[in-house]
Amino acid sequence: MNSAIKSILGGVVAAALMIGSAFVVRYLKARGIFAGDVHESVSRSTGVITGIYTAFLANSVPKTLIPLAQVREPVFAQSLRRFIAVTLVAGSLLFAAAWLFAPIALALPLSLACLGGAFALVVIAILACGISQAKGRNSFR
Amino acid sequence: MNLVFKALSDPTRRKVLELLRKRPMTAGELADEFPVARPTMSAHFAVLREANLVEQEKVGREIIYRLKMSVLEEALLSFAQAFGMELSPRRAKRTSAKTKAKGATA
Repeated sequence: MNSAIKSILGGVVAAALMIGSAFVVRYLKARGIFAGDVHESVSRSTGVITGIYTAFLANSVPKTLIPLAQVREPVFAQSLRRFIAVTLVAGSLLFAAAWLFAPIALALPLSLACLGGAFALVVIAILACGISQAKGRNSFR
Repeated sequence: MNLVFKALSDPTRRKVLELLRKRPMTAGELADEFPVARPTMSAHFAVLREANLVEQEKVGREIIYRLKMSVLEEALLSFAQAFGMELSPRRAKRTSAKTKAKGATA
């Protein structure tokens, strides 16, 4: 299967899971099977699915290689790609964990701090790489 | 996923992946790191390519291998390195014979 179609399908499945989980929670509440807060449960399930889906996307970052002819420093590019992937996967899993385990009042700020922190690290790493490449150095760490 | 486990179950292939973690390497450079015949190494490379863990690219007259592992696959590799993920002795013997036969025909 084409990778573009795969990623579109992945997004559709994630969206369907989010909408589906909201429907299931409301249905269970209406039937009297579920006694918890609907808004909280829907927020939590949406957060967890978002985190897992982001981790799934970040997991495959090192698999997207570009031809060597287009890469100026292959060692550098490889270590940067691995760092980005590991950081984003960790951030996304922490995002999901925050939605799953943290008290609901703290879940949003905590999860955003986790994923935002991961993105900030990635941006810093990319900027640091750009600067060190401009200075002629080619080691990432 | 089965192909990934099969690829990671062999210590030679795990060593190849460890070497590729540092930098992309040519087939010759990789083969020089192991005391095995080149056809056997070619068979190991074929298993790694089949599992989509490495990518080969021809640059001039050389074939360069690059790591193509997801974060999960890298975690599995680290786990296999740390705790050992060997095949049972009988299965290892059978797989080794298959790899050699594949290498001989390559």
